Amino acid sequence: MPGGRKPSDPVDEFKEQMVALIPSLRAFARGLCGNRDMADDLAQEAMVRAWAARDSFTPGTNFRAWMFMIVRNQFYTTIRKNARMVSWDPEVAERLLVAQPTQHLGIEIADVARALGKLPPEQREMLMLVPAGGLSYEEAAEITGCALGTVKSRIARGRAALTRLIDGEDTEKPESRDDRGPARQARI
Amino acid sequence: MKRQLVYYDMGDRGKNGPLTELSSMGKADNKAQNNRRADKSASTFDPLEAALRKIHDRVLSEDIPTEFLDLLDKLDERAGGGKPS
Repeated sequence: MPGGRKPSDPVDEFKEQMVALIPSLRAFARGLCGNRDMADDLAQEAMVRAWAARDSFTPGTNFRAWMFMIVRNQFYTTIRKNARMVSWDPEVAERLLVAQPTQHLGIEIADVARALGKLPPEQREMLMLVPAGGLSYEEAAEITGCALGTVKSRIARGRAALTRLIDGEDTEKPESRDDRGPARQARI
Repeated sequence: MKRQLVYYDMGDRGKNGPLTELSSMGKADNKAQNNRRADKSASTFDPLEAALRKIHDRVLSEDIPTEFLDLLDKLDERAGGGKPS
């Protein structure tokens, strides 16, 4: 909030919260679809939806989780209509390879980015929310509408699949049918 | 030669509830996350998690495209500037 000014009304407050969250929305959307332009479209569309539904947001509750739910719902709605959304941009990994000095990690970020793009969306989103984004398991469960155990198991499976892919073993086991996809729609 | 990844216990990561209050989102939000990560990295290092964070943080560090701010201005206009009449 610039200069420590307090928002004068709920609309201003809502707007300021949304502005502050834009980088995280972009990062989460990028993690979901792996393509900069599509991710930014996704984040903007979610912002429009959130703005239209702002009266349904309860002040004092978790605004970030509410916004991430809208981004996520928008993502799954879009990929149902357009499978191209889940095709990670191959240039992403190349840009990361050039941009990031990663020797000290003992792992190439470009390899991880490529592998991430091959994961099922439900595993990728969990990895982007908790290990990458630093959210809690509880917050990830709220956003995805999953039980805590499901959050943890998807993270564990996602990590295992990433390791296999990075090691050159492209043999991931698909999740059972009823453990896939969005379990809950954001209340907007 | 096949690379070997070494993993460590993730400790209490993800168990401490939401990282920030709503009133301190954005930069403060990122700062809190970074502080927490720094605390964690002092005890364990997980290369896969570090790589995922870098992928995520790289987007956070990008300049926000002007389209986002233009969009907010348009939304604000539609709402009558957000000011009480």
